Amino acid sequence: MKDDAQIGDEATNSSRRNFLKLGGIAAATATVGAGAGAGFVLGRDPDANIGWGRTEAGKDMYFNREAFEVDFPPTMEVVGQIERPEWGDYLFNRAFSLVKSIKGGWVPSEDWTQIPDLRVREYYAKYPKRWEEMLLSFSEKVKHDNNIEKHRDRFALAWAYSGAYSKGLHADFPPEPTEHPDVDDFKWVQREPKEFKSPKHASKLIKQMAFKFGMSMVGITKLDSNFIFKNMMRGMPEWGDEIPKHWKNIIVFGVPMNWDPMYAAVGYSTSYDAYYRAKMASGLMAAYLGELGYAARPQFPGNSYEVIMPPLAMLAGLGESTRNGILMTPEVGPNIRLAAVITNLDLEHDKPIDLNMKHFCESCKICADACPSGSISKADKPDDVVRGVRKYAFNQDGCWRFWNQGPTPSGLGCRVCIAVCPYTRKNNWIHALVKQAEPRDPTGVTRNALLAMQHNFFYYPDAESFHPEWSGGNFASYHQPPEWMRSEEYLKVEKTWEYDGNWEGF
Amino acid sequence: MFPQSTLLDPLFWMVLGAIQVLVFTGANQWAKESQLGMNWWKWSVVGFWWLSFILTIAGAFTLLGENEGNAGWYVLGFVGTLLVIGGAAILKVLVLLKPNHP
Amino acid sequence: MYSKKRIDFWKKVASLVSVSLLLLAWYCGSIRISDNQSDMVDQLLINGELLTQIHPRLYQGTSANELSPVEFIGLGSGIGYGGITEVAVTVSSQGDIQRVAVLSSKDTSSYLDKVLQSNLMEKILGENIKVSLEIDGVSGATVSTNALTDAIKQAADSVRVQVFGFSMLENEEPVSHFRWLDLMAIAMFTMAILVNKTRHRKKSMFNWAILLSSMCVFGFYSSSLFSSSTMGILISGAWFSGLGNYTSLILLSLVILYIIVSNRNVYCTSLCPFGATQECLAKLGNAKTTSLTNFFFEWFPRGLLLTTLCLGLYFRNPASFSYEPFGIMFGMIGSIYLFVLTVLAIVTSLVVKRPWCRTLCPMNPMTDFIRFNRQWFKSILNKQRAKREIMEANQMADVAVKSNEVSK
Repeated sequence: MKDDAQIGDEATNSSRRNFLKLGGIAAATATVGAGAGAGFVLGRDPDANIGWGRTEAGKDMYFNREAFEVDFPPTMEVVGQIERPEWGDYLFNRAFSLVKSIKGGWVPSEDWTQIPDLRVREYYAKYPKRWEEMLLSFSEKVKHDNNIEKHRDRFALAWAYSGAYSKGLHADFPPEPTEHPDVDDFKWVQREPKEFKSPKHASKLIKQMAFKFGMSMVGITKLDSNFIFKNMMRGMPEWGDEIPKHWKNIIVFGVPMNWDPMYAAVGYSTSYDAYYRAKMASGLMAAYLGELGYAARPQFPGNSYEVIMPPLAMLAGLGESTRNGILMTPEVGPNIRLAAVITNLDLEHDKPIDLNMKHFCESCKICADACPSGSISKADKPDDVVRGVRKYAFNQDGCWRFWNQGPTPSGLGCRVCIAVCPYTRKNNWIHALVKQAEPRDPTGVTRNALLAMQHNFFYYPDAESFHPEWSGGNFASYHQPPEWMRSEEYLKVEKTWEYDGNWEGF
Repeated sequence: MFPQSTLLDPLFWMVLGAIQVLVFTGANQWAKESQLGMNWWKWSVVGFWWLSFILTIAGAFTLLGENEGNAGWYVLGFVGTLLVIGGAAILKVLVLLKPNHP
Repeated sequence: MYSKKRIDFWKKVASLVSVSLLLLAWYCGSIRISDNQSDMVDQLLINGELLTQIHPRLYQGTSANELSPVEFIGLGSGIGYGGITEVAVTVSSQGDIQRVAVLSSKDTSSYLDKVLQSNLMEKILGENIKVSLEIDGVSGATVSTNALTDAIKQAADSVRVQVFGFSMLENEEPVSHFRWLDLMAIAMFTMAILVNKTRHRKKSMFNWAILLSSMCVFGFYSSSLFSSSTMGILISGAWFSGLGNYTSLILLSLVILYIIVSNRNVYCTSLCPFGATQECLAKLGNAKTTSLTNFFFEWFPRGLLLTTLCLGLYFRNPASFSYEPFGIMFGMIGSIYLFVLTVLAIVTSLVVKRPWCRTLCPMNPMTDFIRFNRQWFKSILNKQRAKREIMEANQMADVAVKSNEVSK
């Protein structure tokens, strides 16, 4: 009897063992499948679209900057006397002035000394080679205008998306200043100032409000006069280099461009979506400050500034300076569009950060290789000094020339350097891990390993393929356009094109 | 697996976690049967390998999901192959370090 | 089943057909090529409208409203992995480089792509040829880079000499291409022969040592193992005009020679870096030997190799046609399809011994082909000798008979 029981026990034991063994294999297989499936949907997860997902709670700004705070941004290396920017340093000022002169009957020639506007002439005296690019931009614009309508079938939905935000952007809120800043900035003030408990309290509240008004990122810094334009004051026909006394602090905030269109730059992308939101937020913020009794002067895109934004954003701890000259943040890389409000409210300042981006840009160079106009420096180290600060050389006129070639209806904007940047990645777990690990690794091993993968595993179309067909490209983009921008999916059009860019790979 | 689903997503992760118990009891059974003499560090190596393996698969598919097709397949092929080779190496070591039973 | 004699007959037919197909591909390729160089150069004009050749390596472009030439186009060539790379450089009348175009290249396209993607050519745009050109290297594709760099420098010099009247090209010695790797190839091959001949009890250990060092040197370090494209280079004669790297060709020639001389292939067992990789993985995974004596696995690689070689000959670019996982394995260079193949080969090696060698490797068809023809040739020789012997015997007999008759 005893033996029988033992045999019975052994039999159940062995079947139990077999069950466990096979169950383990089945569970392991299921886990592999679940890993693949969960991974795939996490890649698709709209929650990863920073700025278009979980903004209101301020959870877009997920990177804890505290550990990286420094007194001065490492990518703002001052090597001489910092000079305030001139009116002519601002590309749009030059471009608009030139267009005005041309409309007034002036015929541009290869000789820049014939430029009528002295302020524009002064700029090209500094950079005579760039005049060729500016000159080309005029002829390229004509070529663009002659060709662009032929491609409406392909880009109809993208243009509609961009056009809608453009209309929103050009609405009259916040209104442009029309008077002296000492008057105009106080037009928002509705009541007597209400005193805050402390600048710290004020900053805490203001930042929360930036999030509530739809901004992904916000930082506050003292308004450094080095980054205020000379000879420029909206609402004033003439202006010298004086700075209004009530311009104490600046609240800098921003939002990324919508991700899938941005990745499909040039033709399918637009800056207007983010411009629109940033501009609205600056108006809301100004009104909010006014309600509490403080002066406010919003700075907003496309073209309404008295200050240069990126260096101020750096001082406010939003990010660092990069090879392509755009502010690079840890959350969204250079995919950020800024607006700001200058105010007389006393605020606690944020500190600049050091995320090692300096070294990252030195060894990456992906944006420079992809740049359709070759305007970004490929040097190993920053190779230019601009107004006393060491930077990578950047040819703004070459960049502008390609804007005029791009297959957007307005012929404005490119955004390829933003799309291809390895830091411009959605907030999903792999990129979040990487973005947390890289700045914390002092040895650079993580950076080199990641960049080796970037260079070898990722597909980047050639710089030339980003061009439109009429200037030698194939409308390539880093990612193919999202489904909701493909006209063949929704409109009665005949698809006569192939997409060149990354796609899901099945 | 169900990112926008309020109910299914947490359930999915709980079930996935529970399944891991099965995976490791099963592995334990195999280890016992082949008399590998598992101990804490052997289990940590195996566990670490399993985690890396699943994360690599999930990571590659995340890249595919965000339309980085090229990168997804390359990561899967490259890191995956390294891990498979690493797995074979771990197995070999486990077999070599098998305690001699009387 | 077919009788052995019948199979032998069909093999002879196949051997002859292969050779004729290769010759045909070569012939058709030479018809395809017409002299379209000046057509290509014509498209490189930027400002000029009229192109005239003023020297075999130099064109000048003139525009309608100016008398003096507005730009020059110099041609230059460098020696790459698969042969000559030809480049045209458009230079303004002031000497600024305005455009660089690759006219032809015989290098593997993925290597060339890597060089082109590195924007090596874009970086020199705008540079003036009156000073010497600084051109960066591209890691992982050194030979193709050197070819391109040499070609650009030569093209710039064509313009420099004719237009500005001085040269800045250092004359390179032709032997500079013969490097220590080539010596290494010869040394390792000799050692492989010795190891295969020895009856030492540690023979297998020696074999492992040489296999592993070959994997490091010809694999991971220099990625200079030969492939079907090397075979193509060998039979197309592209090496005659010079190659950027002879190591793989030397290895291949030695292997072929040794098979012809001794009927033995020492490369696969003792030298092949990819074979070594598979062996290592087999050790790791306790892989089993499986024999694949299937008709398909015997003839498919033969067809594949023949097709590849024919394509290489037809397009006069054997380096562009290869299907081995070697480039990915030892340099991460190649298409995504080759990448998949490589991953498959590597992972399978853990459970099956040398899966690549048993299926697609072009080495087997090549060895089989040489051995078969060697045998055939030998048997012909034997037959002739036999015939001759019979004839001689007959003659002797005749003579004997005659002498008998005489003596009678």
